[in-house]
Amino acid sequence: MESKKRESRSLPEAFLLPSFLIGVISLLLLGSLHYLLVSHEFEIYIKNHLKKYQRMYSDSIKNDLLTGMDFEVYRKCKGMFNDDEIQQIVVRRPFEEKEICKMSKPAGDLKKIKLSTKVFFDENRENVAAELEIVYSIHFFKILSNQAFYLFIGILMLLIVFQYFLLKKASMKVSESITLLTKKIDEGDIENVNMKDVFAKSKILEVRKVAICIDNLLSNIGDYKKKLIKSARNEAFSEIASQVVHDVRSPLGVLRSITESINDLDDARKNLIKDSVNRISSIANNLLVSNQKKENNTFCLRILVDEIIADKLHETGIAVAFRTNLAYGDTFIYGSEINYYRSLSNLINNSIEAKVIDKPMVSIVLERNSSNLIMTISDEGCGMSKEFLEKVLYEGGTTKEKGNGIGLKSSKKMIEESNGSFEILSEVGIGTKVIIKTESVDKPKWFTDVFLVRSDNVVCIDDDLSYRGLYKSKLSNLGVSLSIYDEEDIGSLSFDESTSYFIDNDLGGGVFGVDLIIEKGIQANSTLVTSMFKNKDLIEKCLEHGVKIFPKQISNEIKIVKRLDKLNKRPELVLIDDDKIICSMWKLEAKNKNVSFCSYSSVEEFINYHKTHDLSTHIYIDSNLGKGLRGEVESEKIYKLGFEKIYIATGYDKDELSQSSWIVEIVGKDFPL
Amino acid sequence: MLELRIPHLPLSLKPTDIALMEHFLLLQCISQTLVRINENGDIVGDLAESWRISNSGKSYRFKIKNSFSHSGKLITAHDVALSISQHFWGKSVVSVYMEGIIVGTNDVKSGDILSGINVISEKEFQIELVDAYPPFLYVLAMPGFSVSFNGNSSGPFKIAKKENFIRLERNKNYRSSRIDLKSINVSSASGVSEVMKLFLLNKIDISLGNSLIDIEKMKDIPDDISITKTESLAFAHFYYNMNRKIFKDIAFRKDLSLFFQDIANKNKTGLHEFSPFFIPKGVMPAHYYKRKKEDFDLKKFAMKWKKFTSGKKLRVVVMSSVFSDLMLNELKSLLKDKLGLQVEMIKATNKSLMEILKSDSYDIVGGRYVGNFPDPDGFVGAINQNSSLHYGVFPTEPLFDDIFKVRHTKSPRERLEKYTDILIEFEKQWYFAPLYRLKIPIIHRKDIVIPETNFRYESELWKIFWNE
Repeated sequence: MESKKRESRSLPEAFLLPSFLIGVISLLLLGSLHYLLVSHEFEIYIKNHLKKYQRMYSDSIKNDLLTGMDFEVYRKCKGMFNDDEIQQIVVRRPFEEKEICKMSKPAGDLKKIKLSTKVFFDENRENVAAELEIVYSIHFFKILSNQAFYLFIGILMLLIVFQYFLLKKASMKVSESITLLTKKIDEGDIENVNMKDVFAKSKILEVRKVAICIDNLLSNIGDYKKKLIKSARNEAFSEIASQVVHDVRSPLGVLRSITESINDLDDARKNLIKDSVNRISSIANNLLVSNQKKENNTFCLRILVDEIIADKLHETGIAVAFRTNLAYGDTFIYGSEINYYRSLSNLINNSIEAKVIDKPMVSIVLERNSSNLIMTISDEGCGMSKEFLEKVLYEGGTTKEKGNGIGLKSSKKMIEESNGSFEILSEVGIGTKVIIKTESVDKPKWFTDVFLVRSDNVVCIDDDLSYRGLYKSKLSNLGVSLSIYDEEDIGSLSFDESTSYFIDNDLGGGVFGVDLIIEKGIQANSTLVTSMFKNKDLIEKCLEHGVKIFPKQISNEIKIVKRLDKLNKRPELVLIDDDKIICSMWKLEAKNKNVSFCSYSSVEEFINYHKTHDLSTHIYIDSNLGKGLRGEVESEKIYKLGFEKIYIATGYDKDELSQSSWIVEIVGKDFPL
Repeated sequence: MLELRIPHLPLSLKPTDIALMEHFLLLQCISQTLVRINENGDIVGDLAESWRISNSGKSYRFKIKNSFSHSGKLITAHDVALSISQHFWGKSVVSVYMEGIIVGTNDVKSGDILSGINVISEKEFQIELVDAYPPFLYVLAMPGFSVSFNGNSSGPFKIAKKENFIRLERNKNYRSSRIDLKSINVSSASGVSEVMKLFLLNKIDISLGNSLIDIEKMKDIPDDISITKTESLAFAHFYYNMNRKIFKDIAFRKDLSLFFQDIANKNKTGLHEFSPFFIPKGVMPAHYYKRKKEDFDLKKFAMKWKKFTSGKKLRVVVMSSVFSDLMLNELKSLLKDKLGLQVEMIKATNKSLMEILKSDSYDIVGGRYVGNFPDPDGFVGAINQNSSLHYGVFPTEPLFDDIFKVRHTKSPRERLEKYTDILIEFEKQWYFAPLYRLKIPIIHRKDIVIPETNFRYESELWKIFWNE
């Protein structure tokens, strides 16, 4: 703890001490360097000055030297020697032992500068008449060094004091604001911290910038907090709404069918009940739609159209004709489901409003063109002029008195945002046609649109009376033993792999079908039948555990597939290879890894039994099937049957094979799992 | 090449024969002195490579450079000894400056070397002085003592042609100093007006020895012509002939001298610097020139001396090239008006004045004298009554006796102090009226550079160069 205390210091301490030390060291270095430079420059300057001085002096004695007036030279030297700064003067003629003049005095520890000049006989300065040597003892340097030292120390002290107070004040200005801020944050009052108050006293630009950043940060935190609360509320509301819609729909359906079958009521009362039911249904749908997010995901377009048509029927009592020959599983697309809902709903509304009484109803056609789904919404209503169409399509808005604000422009935009293309054709008096084109995607693994019956025993668990009746009517004719239970019977049931199960998810009492399937390990022979197929948590769980979901919304078109073939276990892997050794090896591996496996010696043999295999089966075909048959070619026949997970297995170099568009991958002959 | 005009060509360029300043300048061109004074006023070796002066100051030992005469002969110590000695074989103009200084000047036979000059080797010789003489090297620097004997001289120029003009060409053997000129043509031209005509005709580049008065009168000088007023050691004074009764009264001489100085001061010009001292400024110690100024009042002067002078005659001979007509006319008229003196003003040329000086046929003489070196000994020659040419007639033996006593004073400063006392005392006799220090005018083309003379007193002709 003590060492930690020493490491963490207050801002003034952390800032002040290093700055102070760096400042002092810098000043010392700078001062010393400056002193050396100045003294060096001074020495050069003084030397030059003395050279001139000495040259003038030598000029003054030159004629005396040349005219032999040695005593005059001596006299002038004597006068010169009285100068305090001259420590020694020597004047001598070359080749003469005795100097004309030699004077010296002790100079102490003063700096000495020795300069020599020569006096020449001739103008060409070739013949030396005499040499003059003067040693200067410069008091200046001592004065300079002493005074510079004291001056330097004085300035240093002043600077240190100044720096101390400056740094202290600066660091206090920073720390004061930070301390105040931390205090406010400690009090937990972040949203009410006014940065202007906290940093008001600070004149430091960086501190003010920090204040702005923190202010923005706090503002963002506030916004995020509000968004978070709103999001949580929305999510909770959405969940409740979904639950309400789910709970309300079934009784509404019952109520509607009962209302239809009541013959004692007159038409007026019947219509009143019918309108009320429609209204409740519309409220429920709006509640669901308005709380859905506009995220892109994979969804079934046909189910969505069914829902919209049902909603419109409930809202307006007008049945929109819908025609398609596509299975639900072939109509999955990737986009924003809510965008599609709003856009299609709006387009259908437009068509309904444009409907002319004596003309046929509004119709929707869903078709497939290669990998694209094409949906055509058409009416034979009043139609729109080209100008009006361009106006509403490009300028937006709605001309309806009670419009929901989603015009053609918005519809187009929403479709296009959801990876679709939008085309509208309209002619006044003839009608309007909207063509929406979007790319289809594979159906999700969790989805199934068939009731696959794999055994003679079939068990259905649902507390919904309408579905109990549905199971009874659809499965009783298959010649199987059908048992229908509600949630209360679950405890007395035994689950096994030889029975086919159709189980509702919401079994009541906090029990969910998905959990039951997982718990009992009956994913391979079970189907979860639920209207909550859009629940993300449920989907994730089903994907994780391999549970198939059959949406109740498509129960009007239930396809029953009964596979009571030699293999009760659905094979997950198929190998088509004429090499029996390879087939035996794969079989052994599959058994060890508890994987369903089946092998065929030729493509023809597989085709004979193809109905016993799910279309999602992974089919591995040997590239060399013997008799000149190539797997990569023959595999097309299997693809045309609807199988899409087709692989070519080869013991040769993969690059030598051409990969056809239906082949997922070319792999080796090792067991793939 | 430089085209030079001087008033008269020299008959000879032998050192012993020359008296005029312009001729000395030509002599400097063709010969070397042992030492010379450069533009900075420093003594520098010219022919001498080095020298050593004994502690007593009486012995000068010279070593000379390897210098060759114009004919290619090596100049030896013997040649130098003969060159100095020749001035005493008969008395030359400049011999007076060396007489009694070097041992043996009074008893040397013609063709012999002075006994005071000892030739040690081909390159070395020693001069023994009678006594220490501080300005000895300055005397040796006089152009008159150039080393030239029997035509053997080693100056920067050599004589290439001599008929009615002299052509000087550069001596390639000369190494002592830098020379910019290649050759000089020297011809004669008398009078400023003729000189200016020749300038206009582009026939000359430079002219020396012109009348100061004529130059002061010059107007409308062409743009490409300059007149450089060089410093010199020349002065111009009035001297009295003490053989005349009128000058016997010292008070009159003094007042008359003050009168002349008053007029001279009023008529000073750019070439005439008023200088009421016998020796020009810069030579003597300062206190020589710091004398109490004498007051002069013309009325008092007239009142005092009119009776004494009225009706008397004065013969005044002046060098016409030095004193202006204006000054001379004023002087003449005032002397007549104020003192009643009848003045006969004779304006003589330089040459004719020399004859007049020899005859003493004047009451007052005014003329120029060029000092030969910056020492009082270089000036006193002007009044030395023993000299063949001297200004004024008055007793100078006491002066020279006194000078002789102090001239060998070893300390130059002390020596000059003594000279100062002697000269001031002598000047109190008012045997002469000191008037001007003169500048020497040189007329030349603007692109000719005349070396400065602030320290040298005269410009060396051979140092003149074209500014390119």
